[in-house]
Amino acid sequence: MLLSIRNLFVGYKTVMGTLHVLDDVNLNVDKGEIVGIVGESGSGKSTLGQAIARVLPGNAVVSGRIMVDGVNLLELSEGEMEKYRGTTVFMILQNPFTSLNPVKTVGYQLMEAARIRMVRSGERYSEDRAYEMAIQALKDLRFPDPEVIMLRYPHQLSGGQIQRVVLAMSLILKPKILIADEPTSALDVTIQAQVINLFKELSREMESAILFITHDISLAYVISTRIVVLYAGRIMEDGDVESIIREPMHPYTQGLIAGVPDLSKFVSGRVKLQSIPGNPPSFLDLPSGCKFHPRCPYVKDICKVQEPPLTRHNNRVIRCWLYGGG
Amino acid sequence: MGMAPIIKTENLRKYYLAYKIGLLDRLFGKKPAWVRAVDNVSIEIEEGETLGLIGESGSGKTTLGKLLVTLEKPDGGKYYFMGEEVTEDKIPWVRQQVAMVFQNPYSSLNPRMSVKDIISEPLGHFDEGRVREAMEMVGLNYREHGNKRPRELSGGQVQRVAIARAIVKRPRFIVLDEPTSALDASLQAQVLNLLMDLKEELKLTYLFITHNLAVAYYIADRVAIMYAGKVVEYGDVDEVFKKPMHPYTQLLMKSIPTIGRKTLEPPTGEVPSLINPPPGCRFNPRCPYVMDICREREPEMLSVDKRKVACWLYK
Repeated sequence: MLLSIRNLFVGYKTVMGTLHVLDDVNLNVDKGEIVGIVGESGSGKSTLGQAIARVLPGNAVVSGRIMVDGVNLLELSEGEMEKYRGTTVFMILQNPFTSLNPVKTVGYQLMEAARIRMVRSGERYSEDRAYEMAIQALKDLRFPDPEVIMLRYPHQLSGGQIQRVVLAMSLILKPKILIADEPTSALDVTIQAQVINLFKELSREMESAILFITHDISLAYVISTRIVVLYAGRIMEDGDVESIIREPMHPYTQGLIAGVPDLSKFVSGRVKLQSIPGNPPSFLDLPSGCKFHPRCPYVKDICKVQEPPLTRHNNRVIRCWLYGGG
Repeated sequence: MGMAPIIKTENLRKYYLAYKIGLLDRLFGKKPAWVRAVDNVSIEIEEGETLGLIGESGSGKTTLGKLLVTLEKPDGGKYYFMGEEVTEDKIPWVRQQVAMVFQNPYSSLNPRMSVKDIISEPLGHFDEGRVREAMEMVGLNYREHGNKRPRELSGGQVQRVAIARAIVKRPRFIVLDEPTSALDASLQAQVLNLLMDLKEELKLTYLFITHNLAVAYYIADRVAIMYAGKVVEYGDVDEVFKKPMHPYTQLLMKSIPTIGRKTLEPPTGEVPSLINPPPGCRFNPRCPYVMDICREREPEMLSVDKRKVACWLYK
């Protein structure tokens, strides 16, 4: 197992008390898997990604284990963690404008990535080779004139271009685990499709594991081999992509999928879109019992008092009283 | 029908200056460069229909929307509203009957005004009855939400405020510029359903701007596909989606993440610059079926059955 998360709790200390965001998250990810992490905004998706890359803000409180190749990342010192960032764990942030160094050229930053890749895989650094790698990565991301982009500073590029530079960096570093937090939300559909295809290639060729964080179910369907549904910082459902999309078991997953305007569903006439009533709960004031119960159409008495455990059904893991436990 | 369409444009154009030209630039003979945001666009929208306007960022969708609600003045071509040509003196008359809803409600509504003031502002005076009615129509409660500021409401609620503000004057025509793209999937469904209901109830006509094809398919009766400032294809939503004719539309359809289809086949390359669009058909550098004529001459809008398509393949 490449990545194994055990009993991960993440909270944030605030003036209003500690917010418990991630609650007992357990997740195993294998080489070459692309895991789509889906959920509404405020479900803890980004916190999960940031915890793995150890880039949580300073007020975060973390406990549990995040094992990568047998090493617990949470026990490493900041200096040791540096050796894992980039080539072992690489995270693409949602906001591209803060992910590059504003006072260095794109070329400098890409060649630095190439140097790190070479040094860590035991090669001798060669500037020509680094330049070549950077140009090739930019070409792969469909920059029409990569030599010009190499000389640019981040502020001279658009959001979509910066995001593609960051993606180019990930192609150079070839990380074992790539965490992508809504990496395509600033991109247009055609560029998004090009980037998605690159991600798939990266996972096929390098056997990288990709955690793809998104709120777009159709996008998660296209890229992932597996889907993990998060709600209020808890895993609600986890399973193979086809089976989850075809037969969602958790009422929350069912609601998420019913709300997607899907071209295949509207062959005859217009059907009303289903939507989940209400909003996700605030982490300051989580409901008792199952965190989804105030919005659930199948709510039972037990849901209001006791939180359901994660149970296994065939190849699926699910947190709901409808499926056993009670 | 025989009735004039509510919106009709003939070769509508809007060019922006790409950069400022100062006195020195002029002395040194620097030529102004124009961004051709909307370039010879001819469309018609019938009363009561929803036209979906689909395109990537920078294709000129929003500029076209702004031209139709007279927020921008065209640099060429003609615009007819309810059969009458819109000239300078007709603008106040048009504005009485049109409204626009923007993509990000947090930045398009005044953060220091209360919800009820935001909604009544287009009326020019405060009318509690009409504000209350508009708020109820979008599913907001006058007593509960009326005195709140936008930041105290959730994303879905703020977009409802923006919609209430658009309908309070009882317009005939509303431009909806990506009204749901900033919302979560479940909220998006709620807002789309609301827009459909309002259209029935108030007999509205919509121009729905979006880059999300699934949303366009859900809400539109007809769709227009825009590419680099031009409408390249235009027709009944089912026909365009089932049998896209223009090569760009075909590749666009294959780029959309859809449940049930695992592979994406996007067009190669990038959207061209609108300052120096490629000669001939603007899609020619990315087109898989490119011919010699495509690089030389711009294709006319051709009528094929009930469809309109600007492509040399169909000449």
